Amino acid sequence: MPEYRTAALVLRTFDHGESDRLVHLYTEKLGRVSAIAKGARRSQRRFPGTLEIFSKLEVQIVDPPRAQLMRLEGAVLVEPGEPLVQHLGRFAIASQLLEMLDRLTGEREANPELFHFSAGVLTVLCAERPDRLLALLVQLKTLARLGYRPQLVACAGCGQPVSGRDRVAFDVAHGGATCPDCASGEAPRVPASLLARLEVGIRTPLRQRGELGIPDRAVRQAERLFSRFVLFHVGLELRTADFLSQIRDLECLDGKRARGDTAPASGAAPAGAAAGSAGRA
Amino acid sequence: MTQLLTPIERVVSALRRLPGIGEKTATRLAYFLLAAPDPVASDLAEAIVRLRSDVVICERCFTPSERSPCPICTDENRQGRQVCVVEEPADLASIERAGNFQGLYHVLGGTLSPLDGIGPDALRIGPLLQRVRAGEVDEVILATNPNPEGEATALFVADQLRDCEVLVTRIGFGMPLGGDLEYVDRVTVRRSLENRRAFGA
Ligand SMILES: [Zn+2]
Ligand SMILES: [Zn+2]
Repeated sequence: MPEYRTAALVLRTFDHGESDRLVHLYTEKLGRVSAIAKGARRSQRRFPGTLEIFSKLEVQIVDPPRAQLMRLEGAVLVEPGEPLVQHLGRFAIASQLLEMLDRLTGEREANPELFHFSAGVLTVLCAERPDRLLALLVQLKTLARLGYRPQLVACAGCGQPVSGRDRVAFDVAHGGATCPDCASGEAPRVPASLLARLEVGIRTPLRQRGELGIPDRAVRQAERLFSRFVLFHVGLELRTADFLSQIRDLECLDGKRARGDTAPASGAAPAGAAAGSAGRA
Repeated sequence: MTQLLTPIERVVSALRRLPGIGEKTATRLAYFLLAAPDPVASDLAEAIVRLRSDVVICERCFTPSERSPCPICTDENRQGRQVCVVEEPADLASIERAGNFQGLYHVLGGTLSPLDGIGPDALRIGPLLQRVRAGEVDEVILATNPNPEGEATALFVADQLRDCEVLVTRIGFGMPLGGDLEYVDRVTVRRSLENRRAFGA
């Protein structure tokens, strides 16, 4: 029976039957797979602390002949996703990445580059103070790798460069920036310099996004453009999109303030002391 | 597909919709109910019907109860200025079984789960903020589960309470009773060390 050992990211988990968990993984060697983790709900020892979203694992998967689902035989935690839940902004951005891997990739379509990109994004997110530009760039970079790269510097209709202009039409149906000849009437006009900077942003490491010189106002404008772009081209509404916008409204992505930046446990009294006071009260 | 189910099959398929019940258990339970002495099955059927007709949601803590406010919220022997925030009523029941918590509760009714489209506006947080802002509470204990969704939810509740005059604490994490260091994941081991306490304290 075929057996695989591969690095994997945990995308989602579901309870399955009485003692198992169904795990959606994005793996380096096999792409997206669903695998049953037998006994994962019953035994603490079987998969201790590993089968949680955001975890990076080394897994051992078998593919039993005639079985519908693959079976997760073993999993070793390589990198816990814990830092991603210490900030709501990180949590929202990382969740959106997982959803795109879970819903926009084909089952068992291997794409090692996409795997390394995604694992790298999660690692960067663990250490960054999240802001709206970070959320936007993660979305654009991921879209580009999934084959939904927006046209930003050349006309999506005829291919002529548009970046020399002042303002250009952003025509979602065409696939992005369009010259005056190709643009439809209702497409919004946006600064060509913004699109050009986003193009650079797609190729720039996330940590250096501050050097792109994209002001907050422009980020907000781009957020609106690309939420319509995703809806049109991907053909589904991402469940995490609404979450991300609620988190933006809570100002957890404004980058300046440290809202939600401290885990409650580390901010308050040590948990032992808290438990003690609960006992005395 | 649409052939009529036998009475046994109907019970099996109804039981299978319950969480944690697979085909095997459902079948075993169905045959047990069939063979059980008389009041067993009818008591169960009546209890289930009354569950839906007689249970109300407590207006203060949002746990299901036979009256509102519930017996916990109206118990004068409890420490009313401590509120323990849990995800689900089952978590409340579990803390009650432990028997050493004397405060009150707030049931959020879920966790932040972006991949299921569940965001902050789907959590029941307003009534908790009201209780805190009304000065009724000295300590809010965040007792959501120690998984990513539960952690993010705790963070969100703490963030909502940041401008309030209230002590916000998180339940402790550490080695499970009967656990074995060799088999415990490293996040748990690290937290066990962070959350250590003076011996005998
Ligand atoms: Zn053109
Ligand atoms: Zn109550």
